[in-house]
Amino acid sequence: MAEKIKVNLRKRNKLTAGDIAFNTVNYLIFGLFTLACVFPFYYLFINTISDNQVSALGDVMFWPVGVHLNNYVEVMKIRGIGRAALLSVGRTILGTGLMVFASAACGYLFTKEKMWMRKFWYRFVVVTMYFNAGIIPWYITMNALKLTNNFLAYILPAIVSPYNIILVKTFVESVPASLEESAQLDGAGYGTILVRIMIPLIKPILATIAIFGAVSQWNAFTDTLFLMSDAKYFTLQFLLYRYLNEAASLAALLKSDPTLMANMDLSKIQTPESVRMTVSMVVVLPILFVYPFFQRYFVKGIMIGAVKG
Amino acid sequence: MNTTTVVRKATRHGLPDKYKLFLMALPFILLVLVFSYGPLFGWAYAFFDYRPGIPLDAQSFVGLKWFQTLISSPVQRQEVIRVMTNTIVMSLLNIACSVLPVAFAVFLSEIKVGWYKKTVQILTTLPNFISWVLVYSFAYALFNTNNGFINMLMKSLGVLERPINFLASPDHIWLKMCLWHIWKTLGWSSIMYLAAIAGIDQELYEAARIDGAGRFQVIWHITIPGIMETYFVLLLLSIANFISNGMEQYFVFQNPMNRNKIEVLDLYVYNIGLGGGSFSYATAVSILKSIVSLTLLFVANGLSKVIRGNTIL
Amino acid sequence: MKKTIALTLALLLALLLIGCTAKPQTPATTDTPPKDDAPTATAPAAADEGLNMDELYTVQVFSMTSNYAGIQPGWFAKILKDKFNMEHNIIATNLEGGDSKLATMMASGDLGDLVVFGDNSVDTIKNAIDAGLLLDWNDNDLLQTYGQTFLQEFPEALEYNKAMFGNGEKVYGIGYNVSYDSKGPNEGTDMIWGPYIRWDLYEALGCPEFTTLEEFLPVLKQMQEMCPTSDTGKPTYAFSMWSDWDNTHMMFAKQYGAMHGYNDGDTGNLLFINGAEPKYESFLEENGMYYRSLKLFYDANQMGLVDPDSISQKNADVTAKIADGQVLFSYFSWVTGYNTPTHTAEGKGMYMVPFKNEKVYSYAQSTYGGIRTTCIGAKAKDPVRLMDFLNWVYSDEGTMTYYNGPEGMAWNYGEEGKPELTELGVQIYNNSTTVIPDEWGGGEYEDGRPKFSPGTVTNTTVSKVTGEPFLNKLWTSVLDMDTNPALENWREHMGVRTAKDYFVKNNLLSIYKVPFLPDGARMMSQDLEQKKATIGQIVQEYSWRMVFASSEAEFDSLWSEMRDKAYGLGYQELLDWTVEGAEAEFAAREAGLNQ
Repeated sequence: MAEKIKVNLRKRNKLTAGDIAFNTVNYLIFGLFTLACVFPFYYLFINTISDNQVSALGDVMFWPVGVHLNNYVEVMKIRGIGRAALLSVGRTILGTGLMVFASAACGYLFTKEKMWMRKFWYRFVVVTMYFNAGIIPWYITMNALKLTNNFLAYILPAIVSPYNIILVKTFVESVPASLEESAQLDGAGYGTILVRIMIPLIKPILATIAIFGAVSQWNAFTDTLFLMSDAKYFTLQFLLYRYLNEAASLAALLKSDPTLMANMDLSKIQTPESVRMTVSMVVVLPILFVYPFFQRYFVKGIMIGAVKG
Repeated sequence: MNTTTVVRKATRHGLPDKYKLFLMALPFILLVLVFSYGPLFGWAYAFFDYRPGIPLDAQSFVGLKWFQTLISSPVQRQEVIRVMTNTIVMSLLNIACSVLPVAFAVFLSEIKVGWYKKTVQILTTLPNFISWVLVYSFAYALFNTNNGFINMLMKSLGVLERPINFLASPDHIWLKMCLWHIWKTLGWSSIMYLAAIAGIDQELYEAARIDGAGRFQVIWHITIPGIMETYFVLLLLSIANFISNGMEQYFVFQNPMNRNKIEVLDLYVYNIGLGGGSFSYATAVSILKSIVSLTLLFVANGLSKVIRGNTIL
Repeated sequence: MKKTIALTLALLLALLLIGCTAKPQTPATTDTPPKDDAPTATAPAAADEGLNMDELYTVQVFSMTSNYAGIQPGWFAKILKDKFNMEHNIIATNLEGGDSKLATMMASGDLGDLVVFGDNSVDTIKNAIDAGLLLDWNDNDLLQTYGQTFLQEFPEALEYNKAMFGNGEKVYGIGYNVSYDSKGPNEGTDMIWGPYIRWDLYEALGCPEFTTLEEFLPVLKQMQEMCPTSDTGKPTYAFSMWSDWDNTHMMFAKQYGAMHGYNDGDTGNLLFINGAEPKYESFLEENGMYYRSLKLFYDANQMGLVDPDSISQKNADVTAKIADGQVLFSYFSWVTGYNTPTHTAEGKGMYMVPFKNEKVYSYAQSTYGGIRTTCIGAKAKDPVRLMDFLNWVYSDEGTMTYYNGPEGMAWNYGEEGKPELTELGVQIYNNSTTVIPDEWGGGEYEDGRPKFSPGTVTNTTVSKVTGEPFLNKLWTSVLDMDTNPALENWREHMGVRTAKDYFVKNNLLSIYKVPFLPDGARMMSQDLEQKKATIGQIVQEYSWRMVFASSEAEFDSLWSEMRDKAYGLGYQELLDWTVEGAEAEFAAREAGLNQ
């Protein structure tokens, strides 16, 4: 049958004039928008490798001026940055993995009408998206759970993500019920169905939430900020955040201390802008390299028939 | 035969399915209980003049004072009306634009050249990773009067004589904010629709093509229905977030000239709460926001039942 | 299926369990004191044992002023290690979450070993004391036994702290920038305010004299015409401002007051208070200083003297513009990044040009110290060693070291015991990122500076050992060395060596002394704080709109609109509260309690 379709497709491969017009416009619009997305990024990049003084004056717009890599060298010099990077990778992998599994499980389980008080529990989980008690009670809770200076503080709170559960649940609902029923008839339990049948079927959405989860784990620094005082739990993002603030705070310090201002040599102070741009690059580039890995899960559509077959 | 097996199994485990399912979900429910409901004891702070570090029983109880602060004087009420107008307009604009990621995903999947599609998809997510502060730096580089690209360009084309400070102008500020928002989030938000499209059974497409359906017919009858559910779910969630449209974007773009129109609720609370570092006030606002969000969520859910015959919650 | 459920459950429960028990098992917490130690239990034990430096002491410094976080590096680290067997691990709220971080630390019940409070922290210190987080320095005669420097040199600072925070009995800390006496202004070579203008252009115009600030405008216009572009060819302006430092008002507009002897004490309470005389003026006063200041900027803008980017640019942008020579005027002495060696060698530079009606606001040296207070945490591991350390840091030797590095490294005693820079010292003076030899601790000089405190003894205080101020910039030997053609030119014209000398000589200072308020610090109620913030938004916003108003009519209508709104939001209440405080200060001055 597959053979036949291929033949059919080949036959239909001829493009009409309308197709050509559509494609041209489509490619062009996406191309232009992509350019609009890339240019600012490129702009930031060339500013990080340009002379900081020229950059501060806003004179770097289309090509770098006075190329140097000092900004990056300085970042590499931050004490403990290697270890922190490893820790960040660790929390990203572990945290994302568990979150994806939890979302798959919850998303699947909450579609089961049979569950005891299903509606209540689902709402119980979902409404927490709209709660925010503030930083102090959160800290007190985490402290009471002994999650200060503890790696698990990065993992446990992130396992259940209501937003992702909703996304998965919606996706699961679109999977034809017949597939699951046939498996159930074979005697498979819920756990088996989840792992053997459902998870392979919902890969695109799992890849999506994996990207969301990984990015937010990778970018997180507030948990380190409030919960960790021991340097061995510092993450890359936290060190970069601190480094960035160091550059910015000198200006703030001057503002708050008139006496100091009167006795200070301002020409020695570098602008926080180049630091901010560099930090941004250091953070984004790894994401860009990992992204295509997830991409293959949803560029290609699934063949439910094949699974059924 | 199969039915009997299931029944036999169930009895052997001694637990009906409904509890089994619940037990499977229980660990996750417990996590939510601990990490999301646990800190909610802090809502009590809204009723005190809370000072951190001092036990609650030693703090002064102020009742609903912080809830009333927002509407305590006529001028204050005017301020709140102004801020709420901004908030609502921005939210409406953003909700109206929420169809764009859908369109983005649909048309992107019409692109058949693999590398082009992948490249577009990756690169259009870039703005999502640039912090708003840096977005502003870039905007400043484009629009400043000194050596900003736009002003220089317009000057050299002879359109302008005196440079214009675009960033200080309150004109069309809502629209401008909305455009920046689209530019930053479009590629990123389209990811889940791309996933939804990938989840559509390919047999449907094959069948449609064999039936000789045109491109737009396929889109209209297969792709769109396939991602509608996801769209409605996300729409519902964003309706619930109606009064919380974040502050970072508005914070970096605000200046004394445009603040009047750019100050949304979150930014307003930040702007006036910063001075006192008042945790109680912030908590009161946050409680009010939770109440509004949940109300909107359930109203929207109810509406969805009436209109689409289908609930999301 | 059963297996999967069991596995999931087991995994999660295990994780939860680990989460709940991991902390006590981790030996990583040796640095921090055990959280359940009662302060009363620790202190006497330590005091009984006396001073024992056998063990390396990692001092947790919780600083609200530091702009460095982590372990103190460089030459000061070496001194800490060699002299006190100590290292400083600094947690800096400035870099790590600000007020929220402070709040969570307060909630945790432990502020570390050394606690350094920041500006406007009267409330914070009171809260910390109420929450039992700070140690009384009189506990176990700590001060008496190990803090003789404080008792002998800074008794008034201790009294001040007692009155402010300790109900007249307890001492919780020492303010920053304390002095042996309060004879003169706190500033070094320059006051905080100028005005500073492009000296080379001004000189070319024949140095016209000014009576008022307003008279600067036409001259600035001529200067702009004379020098229309900067080094990189960008247009020049007299005023290039930024709004990201504003809080309850337009920060730049306030400076007009400071040039006439008034300031708001950086409280943001919208009231000018005279530094020396018992006078005050509301920011919203019709035809008052704030109004005239806005008018000045409005007129300047009409003349094309205001950078149109002023509203949308940030401080960092202006810093770059100044270095490039795009700005001709500055209220502040510290916005003079234009004075690079290249520029000054060509005789170009920004220098102080006074006007006749000027009275520059100045902060006096103070025997009480500023509000940034250094305290010892109630749960500190070893208060004795901390007191011993602080005692040294505030001593004459400690202060010299704090500001100039250890003796022998950057400076030495020369003839008659006057301090002189060493060769390395000269290098450091010209470039604070000079690398220090390993024998002194290595690293760049700037990185090695003490990070735990914003300032101990005021650096302009005259050392009892050398008879010269602690700040090397003010040493006779350095004043002779540190000069350039532009500065020499200015010195010759003005007949003085520094801007400060000029103001002192001509008695143009309005010197503010920290008041001693016997009733202790006042706290603003939270709802007044909130009102102030709301009013401040209005004032700040309207101020900028007035500066960029298109006509005088618009300017005036915006002004009255602003007043109406501010009063509608309860400005009178804020005013009354602030005036009450000002009058209490005046009364204290009257009673001679302010030295």
